[in-house]
Amino acid sequence: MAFDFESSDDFPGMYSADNNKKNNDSDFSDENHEKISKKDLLIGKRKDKKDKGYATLEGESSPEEELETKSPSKSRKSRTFKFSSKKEKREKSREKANKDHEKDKKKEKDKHKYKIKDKKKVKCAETSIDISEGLPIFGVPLAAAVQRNPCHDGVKIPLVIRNCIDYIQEHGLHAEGIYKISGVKSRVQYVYALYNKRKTVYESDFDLTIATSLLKQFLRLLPEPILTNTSLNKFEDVSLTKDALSLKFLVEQLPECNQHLLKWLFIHFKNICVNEKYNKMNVSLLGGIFCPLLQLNTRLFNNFVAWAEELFPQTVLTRYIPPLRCVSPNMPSTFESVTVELGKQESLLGQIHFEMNAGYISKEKEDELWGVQRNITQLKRKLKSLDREMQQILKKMQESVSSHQETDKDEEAETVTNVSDGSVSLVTEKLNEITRADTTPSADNSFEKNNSESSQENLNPSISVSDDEEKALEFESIELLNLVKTLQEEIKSERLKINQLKAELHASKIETTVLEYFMPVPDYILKDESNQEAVREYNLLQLQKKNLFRSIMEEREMIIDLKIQISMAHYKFK
Amino acid sequence: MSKKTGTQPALHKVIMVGSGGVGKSALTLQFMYDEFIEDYEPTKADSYRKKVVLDGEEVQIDILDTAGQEDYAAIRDNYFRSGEGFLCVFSITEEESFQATQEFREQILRVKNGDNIPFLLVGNKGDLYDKRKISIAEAQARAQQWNVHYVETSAKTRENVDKVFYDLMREIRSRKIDDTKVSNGHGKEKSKIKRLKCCIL
Repeated sequence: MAFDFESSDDFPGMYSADNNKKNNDSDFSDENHEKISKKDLLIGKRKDKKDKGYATLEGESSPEEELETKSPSKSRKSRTFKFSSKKEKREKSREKANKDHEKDKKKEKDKHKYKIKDKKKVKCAETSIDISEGLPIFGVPLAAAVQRNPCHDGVKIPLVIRNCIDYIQEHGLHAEGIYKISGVKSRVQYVYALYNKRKTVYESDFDLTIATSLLKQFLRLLPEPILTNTSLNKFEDVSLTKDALSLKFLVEQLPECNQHLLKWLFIHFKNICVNEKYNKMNVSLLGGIFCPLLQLNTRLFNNFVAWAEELFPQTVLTRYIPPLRCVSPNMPSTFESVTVELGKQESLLGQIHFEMNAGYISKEKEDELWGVQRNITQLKRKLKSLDREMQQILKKMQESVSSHQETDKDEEAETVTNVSDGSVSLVTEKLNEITRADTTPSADNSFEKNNSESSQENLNPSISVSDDEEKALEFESIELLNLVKTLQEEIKSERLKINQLKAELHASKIETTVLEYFMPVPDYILKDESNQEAVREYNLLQLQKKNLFRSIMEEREMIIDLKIQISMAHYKFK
Repeated sequence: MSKKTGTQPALHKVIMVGSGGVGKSALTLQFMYDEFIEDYEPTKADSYRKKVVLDGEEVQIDILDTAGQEDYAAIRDNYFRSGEGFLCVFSITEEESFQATQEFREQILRVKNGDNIPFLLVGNKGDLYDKRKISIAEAQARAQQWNVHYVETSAKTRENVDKVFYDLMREIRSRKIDDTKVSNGHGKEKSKIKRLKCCIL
């Protein structure tokens, strides 16, 4: 269960939806439109079965045969059999039956669909129209496939490819002859159909050969070369020169989803080649399989694999974690995780609307729509409550800062400005920025101030200690007080700036709360899928900022220490 | 899984419609969490689920709070289609929001294809009676014309908030019962078949 494609949470949910319907029927509290949809459903079912026959036929027969004729490895066929006999006898017999009646393929496909349905107990054909016909994932331009079968975490490759690569990365890097052995046709076809129908695919539906075959099939059915018709020539020209930079430049000119797919494929291939001693696959063997599929020449393929890291720097093949399904008890609870999940849910919602607007409406889809919407609402509420908590922490901090300033005022009346006024003022804003990344740096801040306080307290009872120590403490307190002064001055100027900016905002009639600027990522940015990259970058930068704050704090402490030492040295010299 | 079949309470799907700023979210939040937030923040779409007891029967209510602004009209149909009952909200202090209800009503009828849909006309912001622009008579006349009920609420004081949701749920429930009766022969047959199936399970 280490790998479920669509979190299995929704498995019972799916059934409970069905049960619910049954229940409604038996409770004679059925509603009219439900009745209608039921009828549609029946019609749909009938139609669906038929369609499935065709769909699988067109999807399966040609490419699989193509591969068989193309493939140089003759061991493949026998291996398939060996494999299937190992795997499942029923599958094998079905396979055999398929081969025996190749002329009667359509009928046969229908039959084996039934069988699979029986076996898997998958409730098929909920949709009144077959989405796998109208909006297929396989055999369409890459951009369409990505739009129809997206990963909701901003990686712009089709989910099916992501799932395959994830699976192979996890289970197959050490498997001998990976990509050479094809999966059992019927089982590959079954998973293929699941994807085309947007059904939930479980890990149990997969094995290595299925994953590799499915990936190959997807690439084979792409209507355009991955390097695009327009740029393919340029790529070939560049491949003659040994120039990684110009190759990189060309890659960057490709459409975004082509870039992403290239990136994922070749980092993945690289990983396979690195493990050659286990899987016995090297660049040329892989090239033999993928060059025709990707419509690349061997030299280009080799270059891509060899320079994978340079071409796609800092790429990590992260395993896909699908958005939470309805009624999930494990709602995220930290700012970052809520934000990330919200992004996924928004993307999923967009996908559902896209499918519904394309006319694929079913009760299931509608339930999903409400469910995802509910998740989004809950996540947003969570964000708000996290915000409120943050506000409260800030208020407390502000209070402590201002109370501290009061004590300062007693001692150095003229230098201290009354920084705090009731509202969420500049102190909080400044601290806000700090605490947004982490509470520790600001804690350090106040800690430091407390230090100064305590050090002052120490001044009086320190008579008993030696002269040197006394002097050291005195210097320390001077330094700390200086620091307080400079910080306060900074705060003052920042506050002036903020007021200025507020006035400007007011003048241009933009209504806004201060907090918005320090929110991790505003909603409208999250909603925009094109910003996913930026959002991730933002999160990274936040982390960096956090670390910077820490180091600044440490540096400051060091400086104070040094200054004390210098003063001590001066003192002694005198 | 079969355990769930018996225990799953009925689910009623309610959709809030109306112009921007009339208090759809405020009504929903007041009903859901007993909270009232003064700040206005336009909704895109929000959805809530709550278990309630309706005339002694435990039911679930799904509330979908939609955007008042026109910007989201494209996705609105997807929501309207799946709704079972509608609360059409306007602000008694705003003439335009009252006029807009006509448009929302038409949209709903168009999407749902029929005029016998559980529907309530809701005049919100009842606490601001000194700023009233729409008289009760005026609103009631429109409700009568549509053959629906008119209720005045205040999300702020919680006046009639529960009432509108419960009244609508009752309408949805009776509508569902009617539907089963209309197609009675078929319905019974089907339920028998289903029951048989359940027994096998």
